[in-house]
Amino acid sequence: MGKQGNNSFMGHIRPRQIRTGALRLRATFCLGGFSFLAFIVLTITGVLLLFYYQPGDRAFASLSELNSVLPYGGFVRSLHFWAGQMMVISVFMHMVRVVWSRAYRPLRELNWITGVVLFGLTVILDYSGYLLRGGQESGAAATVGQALFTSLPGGQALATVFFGQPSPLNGSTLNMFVWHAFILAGAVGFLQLFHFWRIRRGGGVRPL
Amino acid sequence: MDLLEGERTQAPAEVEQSGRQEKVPLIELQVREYIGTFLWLGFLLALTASVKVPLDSSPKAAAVSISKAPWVFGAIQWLLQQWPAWLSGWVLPLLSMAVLFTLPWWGQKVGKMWVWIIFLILSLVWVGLTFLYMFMG
Ligand code: HEM
Repeated sequence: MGKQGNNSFMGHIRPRQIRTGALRLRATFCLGGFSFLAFIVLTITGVLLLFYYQPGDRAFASLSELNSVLPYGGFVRSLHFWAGQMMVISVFMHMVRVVWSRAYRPLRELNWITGVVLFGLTVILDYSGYLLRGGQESGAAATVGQALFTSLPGGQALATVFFGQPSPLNGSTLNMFVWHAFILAGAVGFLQLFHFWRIRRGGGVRPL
Repeated sequence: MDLLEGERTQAPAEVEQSGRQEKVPLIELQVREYIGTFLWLGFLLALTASVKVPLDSSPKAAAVSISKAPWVFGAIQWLLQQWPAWLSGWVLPLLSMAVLFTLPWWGQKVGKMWVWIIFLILSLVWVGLTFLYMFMG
């Protein structure tokens, strides 16, 4: 990579030389990397699911067709599901590692805060994905979420923006779909890039 | 990159220190990343192949009475079954998030040992409630 490359975003987050300490397994346990890997798998399988999934009344039917009729449909759906659960777990474990190695301290506070936002968004992404399954369970989960919002003053409007109008038997709506597949996923994608950039600004991973 | 790092003038002592650590070419990291990716993808594929993801109950079927939360919100669901919604659904989760956000500040106030203890208790409570909901809920 030339000088130009060194000044670029990639040159910044992938410097040509790495400190030996940061390579040790117990410096990171690869947990941040595993979280990002899960996100990549989720993005690829999520885009594939987009080609067939229909939010709203047809959600459950489209998923069961995808699951049983479409070649590799069930496989792609399973991958998306398991990568989602693994991402929640690895993001949480990554946070434990960061506290353990005290990497929230100065120079890295902004990245810690970015991380907490990422953690919150990852959990909400998993929940919104569950609602998109469109079965009665998702309807019940949407009802609980809606009730929480409407218990707030002015919460009815917020609930409508976030949930649309799900039925108690089907949590999938166009609103939830837009949040899950575009807004939340996009925000998590963008924040991760910011997170990686900040890691280098903070001087790279510093093992205990 | 070396050039860029050389240009940083105000790096605090700990960064200065780690800056003096021995350096190795990026390929050393890449090799580890390839191995990690390979193992992680292997695990994911094994999970996908061995545990079938079920479909839920069809909205067209007779209504079954369910109040099931996805496991990520299992802890909140458990709390909701004990206490009023404002407390279980808003105050406790938001308070916990507030503690997380302010952890670097707590670090300066009460020290790193206490931060670890606060964080551990908070995490164990939420993880514990999640398990309670999943297996006994
Ligand atoms: C989408 C989720 C996330 C991804 C993909 C991600 C990715 C990464 C990666 C690849 C690293 C490099 C070191 C490592 O692998 O451990 C890192 C470092 C770091 N992460 Fe995350 N992370 C995420 C969420 C979080 C969360 C939830 C927190 C904390 C609340 C956090 C705080 C940090 C901090 C402070 C560092 C610097 C660590 C150091 O210098 O030792 N990240 N992250």
